[in-house]
Amino acid sequence: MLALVVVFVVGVLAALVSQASGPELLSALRSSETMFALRLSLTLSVAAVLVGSLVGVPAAYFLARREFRGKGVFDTLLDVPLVMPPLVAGVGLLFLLGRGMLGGPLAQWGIHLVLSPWGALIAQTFVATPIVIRSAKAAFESVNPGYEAAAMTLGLSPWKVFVKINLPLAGRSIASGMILAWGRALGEFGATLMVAGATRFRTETLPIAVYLNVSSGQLGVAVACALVLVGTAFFLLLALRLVQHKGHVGL
Amino acid sequence: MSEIEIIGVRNRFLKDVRLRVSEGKTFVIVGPSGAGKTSLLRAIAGLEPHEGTIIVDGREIQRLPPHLREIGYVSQDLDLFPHLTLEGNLIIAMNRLRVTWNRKKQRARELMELLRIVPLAERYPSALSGGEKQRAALARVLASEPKILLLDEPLSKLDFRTARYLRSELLSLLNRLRVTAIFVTHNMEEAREMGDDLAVMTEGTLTHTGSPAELRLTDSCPGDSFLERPNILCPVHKEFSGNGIVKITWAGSRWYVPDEGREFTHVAVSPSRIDIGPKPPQGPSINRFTATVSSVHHSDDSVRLTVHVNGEALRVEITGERAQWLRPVPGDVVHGLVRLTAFEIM
Repeated sequence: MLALVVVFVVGVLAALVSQASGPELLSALRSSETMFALRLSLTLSVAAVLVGSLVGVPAAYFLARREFRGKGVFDTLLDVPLVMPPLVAGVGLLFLLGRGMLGGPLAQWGIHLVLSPWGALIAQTFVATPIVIRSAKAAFESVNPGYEAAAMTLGLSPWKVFVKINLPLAGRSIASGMILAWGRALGEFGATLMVAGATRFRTETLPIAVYLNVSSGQLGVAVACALVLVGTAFFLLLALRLVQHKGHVGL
Repeated sequence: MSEIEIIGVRNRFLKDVRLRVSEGKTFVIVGPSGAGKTSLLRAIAGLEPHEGTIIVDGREIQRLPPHLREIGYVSQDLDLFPHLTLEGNLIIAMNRLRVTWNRKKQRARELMELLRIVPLAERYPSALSGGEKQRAALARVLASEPKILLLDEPLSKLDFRTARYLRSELLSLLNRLRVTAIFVTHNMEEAREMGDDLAVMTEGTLTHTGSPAELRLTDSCPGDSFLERPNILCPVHKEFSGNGIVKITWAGSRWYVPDEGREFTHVAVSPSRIDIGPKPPQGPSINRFTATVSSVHHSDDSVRLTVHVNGEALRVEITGERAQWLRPVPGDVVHGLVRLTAFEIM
């Protein structure tokens, strides 16, 4: 069984590499299109994770530490983007941001989110944020409330308790969540395609570049972009392991 | 230092608690578990919702959040921050004080010297022993310069010897620093030794308030039903065998106690760690005894017996459940066992 899985994984990787010859792949990797896609993907995914964390970490802290009416409903609602097919999320975002609803008033201010890189950012943030919230909430819940009580009686304000006690103690799990969210944002395709569209050198993230180039038969660039995605995924896995193993001393 | 007055404090677990601790005094609250002792301390510290009035130095503080109350609280778990070194734990506690970083370092050092933990400054809490953690928690709470100090059974998780040693140290520290403190314990001996004033807490309310002398808690007093004094055995003969065991003679029989590589004069064993039954227990015949029950005293959830082993008295505490099955009455002959690890040498 294990062998079958390994063969499958290796087969997929080998199939990817075999599609292009070495020199062809190298020039495709250096092509302006691959470079653009890489730059855009990195910028957008990092921004999406940062925005998601800025909103998600405090929200998770609130969810983990406070009791309020309708918390269960709220909690479930936050999980919806996790199980929603990206394509469906994209369609929903498209309608929400399109001319019918928010798009109209925003257009009067000269802001066009749909079919622009901003749309891609929103799509990626939409899928990345719940992942950050989930892991951060679990992380905060695992911090012994006794530390918080001790810190408060020692004179630390709620904000300082959050920054100096809870955040460091939950930090590693939050970082893991951020890495997973980053991976998810980087590979995000369905929702991005719906909201931002697939326009070369405009909304062309790495997954969109793979899609565009496979459809137009330019396999070199497609494979190059796919391999860059695979390489990044490996890097993320490595980072995740590092985060989860490091710093057990003293905890 | 300051004084504190508590008037009509109540919540889910507390019923109209009132008490007053004057400047520099230690007020000890004794009571069985579940009596509301921890709840009272948490309410005073602002960690648990409550009604009623709390006055520190003439100022009402019951509406203030915990970080503005200036009340230091050491919980039973101590709650040293695991991500900070001992020194880091002390420095973060000085957050409220408007002093420079160097002054904080210096003060942390002074407190560590006071509690004799300077060599442990760079250690994380996970690398400290029970007694060291205790001192660290005390140093940390003192670092925050609280007006009132609340101590929740600070010695309960330590072994008997360390607890006894630390108790006298804590007592002299509180006296020297003139700290106003409320100290919670379920150990009567500890209460008598530590308290300027003493109160018994049962079912969320304080009864029997007074000085230890006024409050002569004899065996008939309600406060004594949770007494946890250990049996102190004075062996007539000791034989160091060199394999981790010391053979002692007490009450005319041989007992095996742990060898900690040092001389000792007494051996302690907690009443609750002595097993008794109607038949001789199975297994090797080490640390077994046969005794006659001389008194039986029922309390809420346990039964306390005094048994005599060859003329020497031994206090034994068994759970209510076990007592239902054993049904001991004075005059019964019982068989018992004290495990090697239940003994503590002193």
